[in-house]
Amino acid sequence: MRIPLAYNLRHLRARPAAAAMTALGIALPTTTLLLALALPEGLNRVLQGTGDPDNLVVLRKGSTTETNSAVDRDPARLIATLPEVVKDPEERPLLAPETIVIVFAPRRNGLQGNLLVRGTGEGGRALRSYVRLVEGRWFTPGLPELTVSRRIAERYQNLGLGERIHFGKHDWTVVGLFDAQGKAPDSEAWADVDLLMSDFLRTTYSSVLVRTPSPDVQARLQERLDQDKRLSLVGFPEPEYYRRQTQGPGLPLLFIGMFVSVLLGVGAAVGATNTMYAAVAQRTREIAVLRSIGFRRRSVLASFLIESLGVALLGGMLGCLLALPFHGAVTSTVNWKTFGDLAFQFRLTPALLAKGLGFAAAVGLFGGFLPARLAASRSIAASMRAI
Amino acid sequence: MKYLPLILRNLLRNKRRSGLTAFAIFVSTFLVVALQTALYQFENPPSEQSRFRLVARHATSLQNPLPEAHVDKIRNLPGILKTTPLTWFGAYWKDEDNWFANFEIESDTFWDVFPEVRLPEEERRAFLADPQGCFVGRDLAAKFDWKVGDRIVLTGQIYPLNPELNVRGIYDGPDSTWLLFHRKYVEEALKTSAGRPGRVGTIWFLVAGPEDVAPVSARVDAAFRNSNGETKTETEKAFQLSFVEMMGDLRAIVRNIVAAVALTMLLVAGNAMAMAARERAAEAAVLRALGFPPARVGFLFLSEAVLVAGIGGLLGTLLPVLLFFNSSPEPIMFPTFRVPTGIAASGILLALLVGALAGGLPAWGLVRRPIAQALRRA
Repeated sequence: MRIPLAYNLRHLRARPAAAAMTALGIALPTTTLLLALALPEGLNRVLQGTGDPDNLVVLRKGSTTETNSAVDRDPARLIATLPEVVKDPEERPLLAPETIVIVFAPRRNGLQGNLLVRGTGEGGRALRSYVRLVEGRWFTPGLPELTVSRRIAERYQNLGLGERIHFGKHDWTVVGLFDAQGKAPDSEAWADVDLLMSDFLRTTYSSVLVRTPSPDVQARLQERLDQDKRLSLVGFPEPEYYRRQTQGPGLPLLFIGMFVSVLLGVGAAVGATNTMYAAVAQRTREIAVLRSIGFRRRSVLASFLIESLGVALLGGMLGCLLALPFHGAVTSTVNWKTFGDLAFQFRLTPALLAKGLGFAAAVGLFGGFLPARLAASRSIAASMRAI
Repeated sequence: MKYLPLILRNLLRNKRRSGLTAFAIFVSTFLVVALQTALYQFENPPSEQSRFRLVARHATSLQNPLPEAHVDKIRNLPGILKTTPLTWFGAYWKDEDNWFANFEIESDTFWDVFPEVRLPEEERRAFLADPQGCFVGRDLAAKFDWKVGDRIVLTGQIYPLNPELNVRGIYDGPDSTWLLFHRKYVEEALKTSAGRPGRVGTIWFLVAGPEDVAPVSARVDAAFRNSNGETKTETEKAFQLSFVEMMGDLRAIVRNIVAAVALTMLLVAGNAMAMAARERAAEAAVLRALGFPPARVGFLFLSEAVLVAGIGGLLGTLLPVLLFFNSSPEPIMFPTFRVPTGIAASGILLALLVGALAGGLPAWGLVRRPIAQALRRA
């Protein structure tokens, strides 16, 4: 027979301060855990959500990111003549030879940032239709002008509309802001590819982005690039290219966050144990009475475990509430594959919140187990006598 | 002091609770000390002469190499003692996840600037004699199980070259997690590669003392202003820090975590002390009825809280100090993990503060309540 929940609730009401402190003690580690987990969640959402399956990113063979890659002008010109490449209405091949430069630039928080500047052109914009201009205009080819992601403009000094930043051989003026719907270009500043290359004395592109009409044709193009030894190029479908940059479980910040949450969770569990032992001590007589009117040992065990679990879940929910204001907050960390900053939003998905509650429940059960066992194991006679 | 036995007796009355509370504070203090040490070691990488060692890199981007000619130009500037280039090669071994630091070095001058990289003399000679030779740090060698005489093939990611190297030596040093090989080998192999020959990544040099750091840095950067290889010169420490900061505002993160830990600690300890105070209400009233001044009764209770917290804090501080004195938990990331005195002290201080706060409010409650009421309640 189960001991009614009302019994536990009444007790919690009788000692609200102790219950609240225990719950709050469990809430903090839960919040820490949620924030740690929200980090890779947001980061990888950017990387897994970027890329059009019809686009192929062409790099130098052996490279897996644009930062490491170099594509000479001749192969780039050759790609433009291949039959697999889609043509635009004016019969021009739909592709974009691009270069990327990682530039040191001060962030608004005073730290040094690694800004990813992409040299691109009309093709690059056409191939990324989700990138929309929201203010100002696009950069003019041949002029030292930048159109930057609005998110980047907010995070870096001198990158607001109309401001100037020096790198390469020019002072670059920000003439427009774009929005890339939270995808990878939202961490980038765009400029004219030829001017950027001459500023950095580059003779090679970093990559060529190519539109193909269908998966079959794309596979054919990949094979052609792979077979042609003279070109020494490799093509990745754009979504795969970004997916390969997914930051794994080795992410240092995630590791720190998990480490902290688990140790804090142990501390909070100890707090719960203390509270539950006190509860058991206060209720020695009641437990004996419950037992003598027929409640089984396991009912007593379950009742105390449920009480501990209830307090922990309350703390877990509070922890979720404390973490929620961070949902959507933009932050950035280095993308270890490109060494550029990657801006992303903290994301608290329902699955994540469930994990947080699960963590809190585990803390509660872990903390409540020993006291509950003690309560269940006492003999009725001894408890009665003890009073 | 004469009350110490009383305080201890009270402490041991509920051994389980005192023990658990001390344990919670122990875990939390350990966390605070370990995290702050991690941050400290990140910001102050170990090096015997890092204060006088400067590094020049391209002013715009780490991705941009510097012209090789810069090395000799810097070498001839006044105030500079020794100079050597160091180029990040950025290769992995077998699998992309086998990531480690690998550099091309100018073998003749490398040890002038990095004397702390200790390689036995015969291994050094063997390395210098073999154009395809390399030598690796002891920790790295242990990680991949490399031995002197092994042949290893790296996969280059930045340059189209997969170096085939012979391990000629194993070095010891503050950071023994690098692989180093001849710059000449790469230059030779990439002779025809666009944009590579004649470039170096970074240039390292020594100055005589701390007073030379600022003027010499300025002199180097001025020498290359308006060239196509403008430099940014900084101390080794600042250079390393810029990598750490790429991850995010670590200091803010650690600060927030420490706050969360302290608050959790306070809640756990505060709750335990509140429970103790409830049980002790009648006794405190009796003491006061006997004529003990309220301040002393409160003080007795407060000392108990501070003592429990202090024991937990002391253990939580000692553990990382002893545990990591000679071994780092993650040698690749932290060559050493020694806890600085200041951080150890702050750990104990934080625990004591938590004890005082946690005991303070219940102590105040014990003292404030009228004696008659407290006795009646009991």
